Amino acid sequence: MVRSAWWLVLLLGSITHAEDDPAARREELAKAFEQVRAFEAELVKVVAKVAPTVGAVSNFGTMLDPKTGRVRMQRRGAGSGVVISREGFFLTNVHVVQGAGYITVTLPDGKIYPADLFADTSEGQVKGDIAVLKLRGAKSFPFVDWRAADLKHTRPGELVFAMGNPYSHASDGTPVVTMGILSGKGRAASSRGYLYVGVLQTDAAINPGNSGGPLFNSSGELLGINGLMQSRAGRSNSGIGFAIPMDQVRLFLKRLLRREGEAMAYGSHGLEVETAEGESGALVRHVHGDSPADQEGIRRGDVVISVNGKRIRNKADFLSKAANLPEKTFVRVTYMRRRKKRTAAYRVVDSSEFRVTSNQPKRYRPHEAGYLGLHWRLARNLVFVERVLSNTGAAKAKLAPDDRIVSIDGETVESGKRIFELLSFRTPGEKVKIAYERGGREKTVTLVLCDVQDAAEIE
Amino acid sequence: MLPRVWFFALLLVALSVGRPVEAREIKSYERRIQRAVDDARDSVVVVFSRTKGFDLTGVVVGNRYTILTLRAPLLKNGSLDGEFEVRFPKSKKTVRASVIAEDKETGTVLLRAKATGKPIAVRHASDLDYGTPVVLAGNAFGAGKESDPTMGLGFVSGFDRVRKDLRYFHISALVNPGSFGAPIIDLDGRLLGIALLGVTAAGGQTVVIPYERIRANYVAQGGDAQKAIGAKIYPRRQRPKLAESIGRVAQAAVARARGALVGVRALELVDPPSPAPKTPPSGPGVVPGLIQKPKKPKGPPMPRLVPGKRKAHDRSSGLVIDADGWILCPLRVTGWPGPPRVMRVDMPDGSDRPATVAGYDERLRVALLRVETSDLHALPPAPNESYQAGRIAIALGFSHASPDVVTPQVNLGIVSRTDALKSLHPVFAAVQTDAKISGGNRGGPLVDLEGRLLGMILDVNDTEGVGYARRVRGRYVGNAGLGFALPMHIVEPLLARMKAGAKLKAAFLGVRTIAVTGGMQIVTVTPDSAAAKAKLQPGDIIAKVDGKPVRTGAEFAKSISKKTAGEKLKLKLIRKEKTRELELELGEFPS
Repeated sequence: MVRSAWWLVLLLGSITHAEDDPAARREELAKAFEQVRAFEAELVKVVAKVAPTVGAVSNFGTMLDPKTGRVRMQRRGAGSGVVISREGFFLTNVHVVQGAGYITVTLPDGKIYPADLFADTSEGQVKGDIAVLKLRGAKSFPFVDWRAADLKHTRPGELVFAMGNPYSHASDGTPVVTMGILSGKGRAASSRGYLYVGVLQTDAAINPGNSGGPLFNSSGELLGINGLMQSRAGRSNSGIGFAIPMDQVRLFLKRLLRREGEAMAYGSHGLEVETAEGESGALVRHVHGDSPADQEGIRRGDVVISVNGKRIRNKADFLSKAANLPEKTFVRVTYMRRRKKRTAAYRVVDSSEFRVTSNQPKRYRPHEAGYLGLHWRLARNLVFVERVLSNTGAAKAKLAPDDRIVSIDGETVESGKRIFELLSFRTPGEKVKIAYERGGREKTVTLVLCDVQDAAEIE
Repeated sequence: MLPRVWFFALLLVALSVGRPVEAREIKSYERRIQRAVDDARDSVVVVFSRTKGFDLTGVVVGNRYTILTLRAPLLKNGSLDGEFEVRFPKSKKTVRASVIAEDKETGTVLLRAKATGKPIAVRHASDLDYGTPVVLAGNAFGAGKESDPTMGLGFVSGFDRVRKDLRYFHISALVNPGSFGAPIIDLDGRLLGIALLGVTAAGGQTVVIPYERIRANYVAQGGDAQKAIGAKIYPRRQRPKLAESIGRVAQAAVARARGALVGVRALELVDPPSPAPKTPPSGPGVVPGLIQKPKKPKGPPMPRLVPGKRKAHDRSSGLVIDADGWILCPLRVTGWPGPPRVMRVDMPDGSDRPATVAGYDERLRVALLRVETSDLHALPPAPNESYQAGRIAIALGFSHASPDVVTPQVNLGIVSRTDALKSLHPVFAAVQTDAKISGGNRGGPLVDLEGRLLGMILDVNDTEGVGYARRVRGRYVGNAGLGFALPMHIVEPLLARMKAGAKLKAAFLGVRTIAVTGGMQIVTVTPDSAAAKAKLQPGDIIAKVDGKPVRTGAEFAKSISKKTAGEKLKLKLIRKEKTRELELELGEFPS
């Protein structure tokens, strides 16, 4: 007891001294240094472990020489990738090798290996961006285990390493390593017609040429395949890069590795969803005709709450849990309709197998759309009722001149144009909720839209 | 017995192959980042301006209803009238917000929202070290509207002080549309400040207003503002964890390396505006000759030397390479390829001295400056192991946002690879880093953790692969994280010649060749080139260059590009099956 108290005193003494005693400060710095050195040594170890598996991809295409008419091979693009098996299966992006006549991969050993496109996810209206190459020219290759990383327990904030060939700076094979953290999971982004849903986001510098390259975690496990960035700076890093997570890639890889020449598609439900307001779930905004969801009776306005037992709380959940499955995957969709739980079961299909109808609700021009039945006047950005036409929804709702229209269906109104815009999706007979201000008090009323033609006759 | 040992040895090897790397320090570092973000998550909100249809990021401070964010994005026609909404990512609630107070000096505004967030803990930013890891949590590109805020890890990279007061500090995490106003938190989850938007000059860095400065202003306003923001501020933790250790070690490295960093400025000649001819005042009440004396005519107005401000290459950093005043800097600052400019160097002690360009190397894009002094100090070279990919690298320099030429910009990153930039010129064997460097860093030192020199940061620009921040419509946005530095072992063999005034240029032989058995066969010879002068002919086969056989085009090109114009080249030539040796002097590239 006494002994521990002594230690405490000593400890306290050292803390109070550390601030002004130069020797103690030096010692503290030395300790800090040791700690950072250990950290650095670990970084080096991780990088050294996985770097030999990263390759620089060159995509050569045929080109007719305008001078001679001869057919020439010319480099069309560059990217990155990673070896995932001893026999030389190599993971990269579809958009890196797309349209290539001839592909080579330079590995860190400095050797250039010819490669063939083995299988990819280029089928379907919206293509997936996962491609598998097969390297030739060696019996065994250094590789990373594509099954290792546990994406479920990967959390934002983990250190990640992006490796690859940005701006062809690794064309001699030695990959460029950039470090960052995982910024988010389950993000959705789309680019150049490729589907990026449920993807990882990182702030490790990702630039053109990093496409197809691996994203490793601090244990040296393959987390994902870099493929996209979002930036104000044109095509250059601004701290927002996206990688297809390996759990998504694995769903496809099982089939891609088995059959040469396979071209898979992402499975589509035929649903367009948005985050449901005020409740948990994904609100169905549109169902494409003859799609699996359509055939199983899912309708506009239903709220999807789970897919294959996974809870869906918003649009992002739907995209990252249900929209990233390979075609022909069997799904069981639970959704709410009029507060009743319903279930539909079907196989998601390539979206080219059904009619893709417009995902935007039809817009009507002002003279075709539903009509409020009132005239207004504007004062700065306030809208006041000028006149109410008799026998219209506005009259039945007892709106009166000088009421200020605050919002329509919760959308703030500050111009006449905005009213037209809000009503352009509505047809006569539909109901809208109008908030208005009268005598300093705000009230809400529901009114039925009428036909402009009818209103014209009344005039 | 022996087979069993072998069996175990093999088993051990087999087990270790597939096993993840043990990374204790990294894991604890990751946990700190995650915990910091978890702590801060309930405090980061999306602020939405209905009137402008623009969203940005805010943070809950003070009491539970107060939200701090930037003022400028919320303004419409110069006023704060408008409808604002705040979305709390955790409870997914969106509520109306009203303005409590605004502060024009810091460009911030306090909003009140009727939903409770968790006020964030705050700390002083004035005791921050260079290189301290911080997290920027924001709603970049609208990410926070659907799900959790997105985050980026950055390091404290610069300070903007007026006397002792910290006005701004800079971090290397990048801000994007939507994450303007994002809180910057340390790895204890405590607020340091908020990210500014539209600061154009930072060169791919983010400028942060320290929270203590914002708070002081609102407290001074008194009343509601003071009540709303009233939060305690903590100093930094005394117990050093890895995150603080990184800051301390980086700070120590900067202290060591600081002496080798100078600012380099090019002056330009400016013609003075011709004075407007003065007419003597006339009119009622003016007596000519009484008020104004006729001035003596002066000589013609002299052109003046002023600091160049117009071009990107008017300012850079420089690297001291020995105590006697020899300084390396990017070639383009000296006016190359145009006429040489008048140079000045800002010394580490704050004084500035005239400098002369002694020599340069066009291939490496470096110039050697000479300053009359002897109290400089050069950095010790980093050992080989500091060049391993994954090692921590620290870049020093002056960014466009640097308030003065005394406080450097410091960026932390890792070594991305070595032996880089060969595609630019074979003479390069650059070390590459992902430290977010900006245009002003060019010429500055890249050092390791102990402040030892890895190389001089190179002037590699956009068209050659985006070295540093991009400028879009006058603003620096993004930062490729692809920086290059030139190790000294490449420059050292050339120093003696450069000190003697040599202007080293790329060598040009003047032949086109194809590979054949036995060497490179000449196809064409450029007239007036070194090859033409030495009477090389199409059909000749070059078997050896400087005693080394050349078999491929790359080998041959490398053997020549290693040399500079004016150097001698020994060739072993096969002409009509006869071997002959000859020596020639390499020329320059025809302009």
